[in-house]
Amino acid sequence: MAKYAMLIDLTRCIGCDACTLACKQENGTPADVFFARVLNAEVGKFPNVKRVYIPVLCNHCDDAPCLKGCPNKAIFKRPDGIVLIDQDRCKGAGACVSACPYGNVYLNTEDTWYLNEDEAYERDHVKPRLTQNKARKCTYCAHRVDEGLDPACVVACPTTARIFGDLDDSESTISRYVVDQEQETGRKPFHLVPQAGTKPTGIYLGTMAAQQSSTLGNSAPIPADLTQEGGDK
Amino acid sequence: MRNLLIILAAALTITARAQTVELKQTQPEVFSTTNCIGCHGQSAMGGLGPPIAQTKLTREEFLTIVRQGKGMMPGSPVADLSDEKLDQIYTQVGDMPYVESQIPVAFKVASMLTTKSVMRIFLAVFAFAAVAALWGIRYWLRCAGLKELMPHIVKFGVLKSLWIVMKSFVVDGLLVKSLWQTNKFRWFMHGLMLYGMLGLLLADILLSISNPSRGDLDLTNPLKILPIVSGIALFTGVIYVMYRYKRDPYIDNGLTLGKDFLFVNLLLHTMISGFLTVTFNRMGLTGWIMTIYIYHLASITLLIGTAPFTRFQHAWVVPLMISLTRLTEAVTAGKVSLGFEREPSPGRHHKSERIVASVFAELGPEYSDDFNMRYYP
Amino acid sequence: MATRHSVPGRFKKAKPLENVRVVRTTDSPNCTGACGWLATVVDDVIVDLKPAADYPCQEYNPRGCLRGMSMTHLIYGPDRVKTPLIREGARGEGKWRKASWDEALDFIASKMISIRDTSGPESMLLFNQVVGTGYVQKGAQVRMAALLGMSFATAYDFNGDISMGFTQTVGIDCVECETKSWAHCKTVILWSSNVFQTRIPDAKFLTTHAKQKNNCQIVCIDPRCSQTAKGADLWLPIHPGTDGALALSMCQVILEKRLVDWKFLQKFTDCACLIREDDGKRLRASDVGMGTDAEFMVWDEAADKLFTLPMDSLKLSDDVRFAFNGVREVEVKGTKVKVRPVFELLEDTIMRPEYSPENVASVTDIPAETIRKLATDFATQRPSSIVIGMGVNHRHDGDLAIRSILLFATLVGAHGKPGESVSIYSGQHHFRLDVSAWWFPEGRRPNNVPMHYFVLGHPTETINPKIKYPKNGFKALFVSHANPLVTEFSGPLKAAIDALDLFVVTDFSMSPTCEYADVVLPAPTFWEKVDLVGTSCHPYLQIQQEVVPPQYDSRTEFWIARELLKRVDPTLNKYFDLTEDDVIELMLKTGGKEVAEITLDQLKAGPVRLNVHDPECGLDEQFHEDKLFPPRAYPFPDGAQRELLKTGRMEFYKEEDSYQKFGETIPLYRGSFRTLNSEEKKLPLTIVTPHSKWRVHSTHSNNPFLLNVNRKPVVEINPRDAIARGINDGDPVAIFNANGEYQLWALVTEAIKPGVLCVDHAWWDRYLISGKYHSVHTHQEIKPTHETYYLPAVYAPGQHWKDVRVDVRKVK
Repeated sequence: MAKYAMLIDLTRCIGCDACTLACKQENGTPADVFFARVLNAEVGKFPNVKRVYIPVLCNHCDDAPCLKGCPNKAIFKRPDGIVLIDQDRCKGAGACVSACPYGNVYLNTEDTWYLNEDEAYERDHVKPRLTQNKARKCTYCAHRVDEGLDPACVVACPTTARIFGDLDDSESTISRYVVDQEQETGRKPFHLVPQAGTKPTGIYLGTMAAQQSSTLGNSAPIPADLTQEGGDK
Repeated sequence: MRNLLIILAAALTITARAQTVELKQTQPEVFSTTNCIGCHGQSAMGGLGPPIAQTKLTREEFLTIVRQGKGMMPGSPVADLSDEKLDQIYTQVGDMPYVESQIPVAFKVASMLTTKSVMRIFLAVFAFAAVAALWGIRYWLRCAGLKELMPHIVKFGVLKSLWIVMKSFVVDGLLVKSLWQTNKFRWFMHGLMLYGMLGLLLADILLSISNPSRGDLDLTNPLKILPIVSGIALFTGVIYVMYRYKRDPYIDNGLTLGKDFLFVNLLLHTMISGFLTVTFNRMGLTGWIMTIYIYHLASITLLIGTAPFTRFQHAWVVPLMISLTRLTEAVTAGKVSLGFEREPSPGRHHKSERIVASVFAELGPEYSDDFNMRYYP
Repeated sequence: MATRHSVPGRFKKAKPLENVRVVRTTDSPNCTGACGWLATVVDDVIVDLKPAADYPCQEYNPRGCLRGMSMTHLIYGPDRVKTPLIREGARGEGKWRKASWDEALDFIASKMISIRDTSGPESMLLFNQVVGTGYVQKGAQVRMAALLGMSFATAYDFNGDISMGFTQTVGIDCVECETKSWAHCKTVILWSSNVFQTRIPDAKFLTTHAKQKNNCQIVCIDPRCSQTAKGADLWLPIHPGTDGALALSMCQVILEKRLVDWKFLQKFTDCACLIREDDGKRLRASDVGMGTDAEFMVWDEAADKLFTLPMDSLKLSDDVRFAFNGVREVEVKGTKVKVRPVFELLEDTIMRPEYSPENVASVTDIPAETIRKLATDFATQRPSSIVIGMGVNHRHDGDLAIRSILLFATLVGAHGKPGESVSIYSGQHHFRLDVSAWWFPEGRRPNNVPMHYFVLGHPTETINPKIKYPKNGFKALFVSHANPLVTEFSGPLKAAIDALDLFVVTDFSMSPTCEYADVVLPAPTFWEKVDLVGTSCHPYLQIQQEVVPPQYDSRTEFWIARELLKRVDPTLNKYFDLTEDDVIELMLKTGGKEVAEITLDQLKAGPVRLNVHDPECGLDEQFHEDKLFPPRAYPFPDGAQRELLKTGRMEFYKEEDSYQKFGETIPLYRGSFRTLNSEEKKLPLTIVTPHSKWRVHSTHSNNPFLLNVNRKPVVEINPRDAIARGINDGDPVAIFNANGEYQLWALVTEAIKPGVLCVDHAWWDRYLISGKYHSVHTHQEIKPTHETYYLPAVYAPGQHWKDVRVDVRKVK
């Protein structure tokens, strides 16, 4: 059986949020709901500032707390590792929202939307896909995966920073990439928030950009003209 | 767990009192016509209860015990057993031969299970379960990111937060609001178990306070009705759950099926063995009583002892998690922190920060803990 | 693929969609990314957009970004203009009458006829953006203007995007390698270019390819730790406006370290050209009786005599060795004249102590050691490229800065190879084929007038005589594909519009510009009309399909132009007697060698690579085919640019009188903000306005999908500046100067240089707390050297809106 996983290479990620929007479109999520999102953090004091973009999505943990915390057994793990929330069984209790260490489960009592109510696009083609007051999260685009397609965020990533595939298959792109990158760029894969002990299937590779800064750190106003007169002689 | 003992005791009493069954063997002695033999055996050499042949008790002591009950033994009022008959029984059992070999093995085991020792075992198991459950709660709080949420809670107000958590425990936990809103039938079936269990717990506490000697009570006594109704409710609920387990093709969520089954089965075994104990007693199958009773006790012990590792834990984990969800929602709506205000997907700022921290820990020492979430642009 | 069913329940099979079409198309917004899309259409509603990822060069797949994907929310968005609107109240008052097309067109046509008859057709001005994308629809508007004799303002120069530094040096205003070429880089300098944000589909060539495979050193020069700086190895927070000084200092390092590529200079530049000391002009062959005045002289050291630069090809025989130094005396018409090679003049300037790394360090705030290392790395760790961003150019002396940067790269010969180029991806107006046959029927062209003169309301004294400013002034303005009242930072633009009799805006969203119009005509989005799309980012020609019919009551620009023409001058009807497909076939047939043998059917099947070099490195004809500079700028005929670049080589010396008068014959640094008055100079802060990843200029500003992620306008401010003003993170603040003020929220961040503010480009005013976004940045001044020649969108005056100083204060 396959064991699906998502690898995100932070060297490749440019924080463009294409995944965020592709996911919203594919899954028809309402306002404020982001199955895939990109965290944007900065560290350090000027000029030694570093910025990192961290795309996050449901990690489809092997030991998923959301699943264990669900009182209605609405969350389940497929044999291929994809963790899904059964929309018919979900009773909107909300335990999974807190249980997820990554904050990737969404539950709105009332959904808000983007367009005018009479707009056929949203009314007929978007809103019917999800029901409010049910817990929702990334499905690894199971409906696409089942048809042999990559998840929407992977397809849309303009820098191919996301690689989706089967970790059990040592010949899959993702498996080979992990091995190759360790050899070529010395980067070892890691998981998010390992202390949560959830055995996530989301894998990350670190950034290769040195992100060093060089400046005199002069905060004085911009100097006046370099040459008093200006112009050549 | 003690409530389970009480329900048994209660059940025993009911059957004993309602007994109209003719015993197959006709015994000339009064003793053999009473309910006493149910526990003390035909030859008074014991069964569920201790041997009373050649009793060393004084008549007064004997009388007091019979009238008021002792430990698990129910008291018998004059209406059931006249003073006259009691005297006869006292005399008879005093005369009956004490034959060591006739003491049933069951009692030899049971003699070790004095009320006190059973209580000790249960307390130990309970303590173990409690510690394990608390240990487990640490895991859940870590998942929920309580530590990361703490600074925001402080800004929001600790008392206000506690109030929200308490309210959620009542509304979402005790009253199971989500089920009430979405599926009344499920709410009812879940209620049978939840409130059955709580009813037993409550009855136990009340009985311990008002009737420490476990003297027999009238059927119409609320303290009698509560545990009976609760027990039946719980039993019905468990049966329904088992039925659903059989019927529901999607009961396997791929991760916790074993734990779920363990909990439901242990509960079921406990309930069934309890009722069987009562029934056997009523039928006078004294030889079986001890076995099934011990099985019953073992089931309870297992049920309690494994609670933090089976689905039993949902009883405290789910309300806790929901209350934290409510708290996070309140903190987000309270706009106490810029992070919560700015994040495009409200309500997870504290977890996002932790994700960033965990990535920074991987990236190297120059990525310190002192970072800022930007969210945009 | 799109689903209609919910997030999958357990083992529930998705209900197959009915009535589904999947259409391969491309979009044509102003980013000019020209990304291929697969649109899923159900019941004539676009329900899903996914990158087509069908480019024959696999490296390009996938193309697309968040903005393209979010188009559904503009197509069906709440701001969509659904019917023609005619103004009822005062301009900008917001009172409208919904009109039928007939009514609206009749109204416009009658006004046009009256203006034509009283003031002349040239009093009517057409202004549309990024003509380089969407050759058919925008072309229809220009065709109409040409037929009626209207004026036409190319938006490009008005935007300030025209990189005059490039025009002055290579004769065309921008040079771009196809982004695939970045993959080869080992050193790349992103000079104020934020490619990770503005060129999202192309960024992979730097991250995935250059960085991961070549371990390329990525250097980002930007006052702000941008999204691009995140992926850079070295971030140089430079003082805004001092780029020219940095480039010249790097030139000095190259000269000092003797890293000059002499062969390159000899063949491709004017560095050996001799300059006469008496009049500052080049020594011409006619001066010394060796040829015409269109031929230029160098000194051949090998033969020790004057040598005439060939003007048919860049090819030089191996025997020649040009002199780059030394004063020589030649006899010009009987008088002795001292001549010096351009290089020596350059050297004189570059080697001035003021351009020493130590001195420039204090100007730019970049350490001298870093300047040395950067210059050396660039020269030695090859291939090396520079990508210039518009921040360098949007300044009064942006042309000088770009000339300096070009000089630096040219000294080491970093041009014309995979991974070696100096690119500025602002050439969105550049046509990939000759569109003249469609745009300019029978050679009739509209009267080209730079937008600046419209805004100024009068011609300048120094206006180029080629520009025919309408004798009766402007009476009508037609704006299309543009939102100048938001994006142009042009307060005065509003005043100029106020003086008009007619202001018509064609748009699909009710933009602030629409709100100020007399008539608003609803246009379809890129998803509702056929077009032919090219871009400078990649050499693929693509068809934009009518994925769904024009929504609501919108009509294509093609249709509108035809209908207007019918009403204004029915005799011209025959010029629009064809379909959009006919137009594409016409352009393919007459488009020149790049599109030779490309057919409409091929294009309908998918993207087709133009007949260009692979990879396209920029200026390939020059570097690989030895053709003289400059490359042809479509749709102008070959040779139209010759006067701008007389030597046919990269010119680092501009001999024209205007350059001599203003002292800019040689690239040099003249100080930032020198055009501001003393009051303005006193303001302590500068401001940068980078393109946001959430928008394409002002398109998508109102996209509810994207606003959900990018919630409100913020000004990035360093804590040092914030603390001094008592500003906390998240506070509402006002940005102000003598021009005006607007209010938004503070984002206190260490990721920006102290003394610099940053507000994302093109927020619509309604999202601000208050004020007008464009009012503060206004800077409408024409640099006189930019009037020396005039070739629309190639050599024309530009806007310099980064040349402002501001201050910020907390409000409430």
